[in-house]
Amino acid sequence: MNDYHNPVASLVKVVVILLILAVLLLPFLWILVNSFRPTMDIVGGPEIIPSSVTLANYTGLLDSTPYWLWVRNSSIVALITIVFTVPISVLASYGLNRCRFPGRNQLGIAVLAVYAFPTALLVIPMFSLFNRFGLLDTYVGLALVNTLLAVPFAVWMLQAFMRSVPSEIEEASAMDGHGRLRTLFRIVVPQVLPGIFSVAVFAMVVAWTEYLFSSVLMVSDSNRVLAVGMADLIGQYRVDWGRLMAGAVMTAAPVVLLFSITARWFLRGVSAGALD
Amino acid sequence: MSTIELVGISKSFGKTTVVKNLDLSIADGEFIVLVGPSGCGKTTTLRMIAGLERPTEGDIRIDGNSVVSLPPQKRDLAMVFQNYALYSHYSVAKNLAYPLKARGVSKAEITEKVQATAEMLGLGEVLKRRPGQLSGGQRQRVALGRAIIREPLAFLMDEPLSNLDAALRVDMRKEIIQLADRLSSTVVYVTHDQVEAMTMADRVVVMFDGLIQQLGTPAEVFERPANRFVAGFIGTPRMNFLDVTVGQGKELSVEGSSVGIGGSLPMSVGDPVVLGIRPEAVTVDPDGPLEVSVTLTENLGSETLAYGLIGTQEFLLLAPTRAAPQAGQTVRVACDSADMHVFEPGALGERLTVDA
Amino acid sequence: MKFRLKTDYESTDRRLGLLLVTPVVLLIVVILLVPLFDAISTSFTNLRVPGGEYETVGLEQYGTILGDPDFQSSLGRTVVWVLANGVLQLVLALIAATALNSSFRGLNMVRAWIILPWVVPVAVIAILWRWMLDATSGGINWALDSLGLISEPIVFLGDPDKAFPTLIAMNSWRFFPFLTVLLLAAMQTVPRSQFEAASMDGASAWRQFRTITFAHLRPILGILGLVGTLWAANIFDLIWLTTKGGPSGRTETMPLFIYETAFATFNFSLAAAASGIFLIVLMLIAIPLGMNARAELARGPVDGIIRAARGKGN
Repeated sequence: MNDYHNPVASLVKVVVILLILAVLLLPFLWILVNSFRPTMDIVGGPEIIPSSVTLANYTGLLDSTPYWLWVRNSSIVALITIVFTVPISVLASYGLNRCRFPGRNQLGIAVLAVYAFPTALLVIPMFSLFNRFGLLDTYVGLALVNTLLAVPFAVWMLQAFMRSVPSEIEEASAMDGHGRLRTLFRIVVPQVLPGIFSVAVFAMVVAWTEYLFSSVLMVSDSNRVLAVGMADLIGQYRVDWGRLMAGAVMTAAPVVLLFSITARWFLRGVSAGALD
Repeated sequence: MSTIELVGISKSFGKTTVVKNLDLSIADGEFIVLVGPSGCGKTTTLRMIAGLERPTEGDIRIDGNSVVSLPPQKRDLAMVFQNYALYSHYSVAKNLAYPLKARGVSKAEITEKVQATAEMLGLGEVLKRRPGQLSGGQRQRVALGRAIIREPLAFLMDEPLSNLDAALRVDMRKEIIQLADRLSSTVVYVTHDQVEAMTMADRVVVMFDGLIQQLGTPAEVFERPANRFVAGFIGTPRMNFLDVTVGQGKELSVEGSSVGIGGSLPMSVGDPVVLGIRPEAVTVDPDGPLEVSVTLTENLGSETLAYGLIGTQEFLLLAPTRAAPQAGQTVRVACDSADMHVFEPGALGERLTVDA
Repeated sequence: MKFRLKTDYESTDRRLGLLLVTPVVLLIVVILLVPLFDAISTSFTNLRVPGGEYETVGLEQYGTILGDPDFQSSLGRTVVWVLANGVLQLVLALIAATALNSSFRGLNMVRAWIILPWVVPVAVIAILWRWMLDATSGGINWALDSLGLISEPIVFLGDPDKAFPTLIAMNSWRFFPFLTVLLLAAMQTVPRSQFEAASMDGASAWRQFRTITFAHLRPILGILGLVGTLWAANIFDLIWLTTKGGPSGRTETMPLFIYETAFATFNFSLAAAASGIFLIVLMLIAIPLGMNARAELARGPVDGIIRAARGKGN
């Protein structure tokens, strides 16, 4: 912060950072390493460097589970979730921020209040509701629920972005002859693009990680998503650590991969959301 | 290009009235400048003409047609914002094209007009760049270009030069005037800088506290300010104001001395009035009626500002450096009675006519 | 005097605004409110299984559930869960954000990767920690043993007393990085000049943190407190996949209790009643937190610099 550093403070900071990184990331690394050890070995206890390495855990899982099917299903649901979440939250965020209408403040609070409702409660009636309307066991149905879970936070994240667009730019667009919707799509949306990306990433993570509704609403084996498929394995392979670890790695891989590509956008959006 | 009329315009935000019952007629092709300190209502007035604010009362007419209930999109006016309000995600070319897109102009024509406008403003080289990559002056010109390209009924400018550095400002001032001339445009220009107002305007509207204090040509506002506010606002360095009393005949009593003002006032002896004299209007004269004890001088180069006191009242005089008094000196100064202004007491004291 | 001059559109504004929020309102009504209403009306019946027979019984199920000792302990446990998670996550996040609050190369990398626990599906977390905490082959016990800190392995998730705190730690581990990133962002908006002025006025680093940084963080802490509380209360998957509410129900929070009542003992209406009460409790927690958040938002961080300046000579 200033030129007169407190060396003790700096050291403490470094130690704390390393500690945090270790606590958060080492477990994953450890699992990655151990997933290549045969279960017999794992049971014996952890090793820093594995004595024997095998791919049997992975091949075994790939043979006995429809892994790629699960990945495909998760991808589809995630994609649809993003497609729903982004427009809904962009429109809502703009409307809440730039327009004046009765009930505006109450709606803002109500949107966040969505998180107050116990999801476990909703599972049951949602099951029958979706069943009645043919949404049960469909990608769209599950995506709708994920959207509900993602939108409130997304709207909050976008608020800061919306507010940072100077109203002059919208006024200029009006003076230039364009109506409000045109202005929204041509001028405002491009200005808040980083925010939109992070909403998309957020929606993606929600969709890939959601368990409760995914397990209840996706009934058939052919529609199961990765998060649920792998979770079921835990019951199945109670102590087959090797298989479980390989399963963990394979479950994490798609999301982590996607996240590593998009993390930059997400951070920018989250940071701005914190600045309102 | 069009005429603009404001009839009985007022604007209140909640309990605060920002513009009070304003009447203004702007002629076709006129370059009119609204000038005044922050908060005087000039920007609000401009925005009401634009349609970005709705007047609480009154009517706005363009070419005789009432537009007060029309949204900005439909008024066919162009606005240049203080911060330019450029579309940072569009290239310069697209920024320029944007206003034309709303009118359903053909692609070919758009390209042609963008090119022509860009060349007119010296932006031909930067058409593909984005605003973020341009200098302040270039951004300013893009903002102008966006306004010009539509050939609107009139131009509205909200302190467009205040974000430029001093040197650039002088250049852009000239460019804007030349542009306005060339296009024979009606321009409504808002600024807090009275130098801009004086150098650019056909007519100046001096505003304060939501009201027009004076409407006139730059010369009129300078030579015959309607009240003390206008007199103090227009002209640099600021006019001196001395609290004096009416004297016998055609004289004022100033800190014990008598000063002839070349005429009589419709007031009684002993009534308090305010005498206004511009710093540059006095000359050092050993026979002069006013005695100034100089406390501080600032050498500006060819001229010197001398800060002093007449009696207990502050007085500023501007003299060529060669003839300027020194700090600590007491000099006598004289002033031509034509350069003396007399006002009623008070911040908005009306100008009093001197009967010659 | 500068007014916040906003564009004056009035009725078009109103129409546009309502149009724009229609999708989100529809989403909430259809996906949330309709099932919610259904659930609440179910709670006034004695329905056991969807599609089964039932009769309306008024508040009978509520009475039953309130008297149920398992429900009571679950509810209490949930309150503890929410509070413990909230405090732990916030404290960890503050420490982490403070430590990260300096620019260094790789800061962005760090910021991105610490969120990893939140990004991966819960199954992964469950597997990871069940293994780490395992008594015989787990990493934690191995590490503690190698360091000579224990003579016999500690049972974490299998121990009725230790399971709950362990889960609290796990959940906090999972979420605090996310909070860290948010707090860090808020911290980095504090203008340097405020700290510089405070230093000139003799304020110590701790005082600067307390008055400037913390003042800036208050609004976001308010919101995070609110949202974080709500999210924590509803956590189902993590607990379900690691302990299923055991051992002997010692980790059963409300979401699990509701789930079990509905799907294991097949008493949907009772589960709905439990949910109803849970909802009320959540509202009771959320509303004061929400009010607090709004008050903080209005206050703003300017107090910080004034207080920092006054701190000199102390």
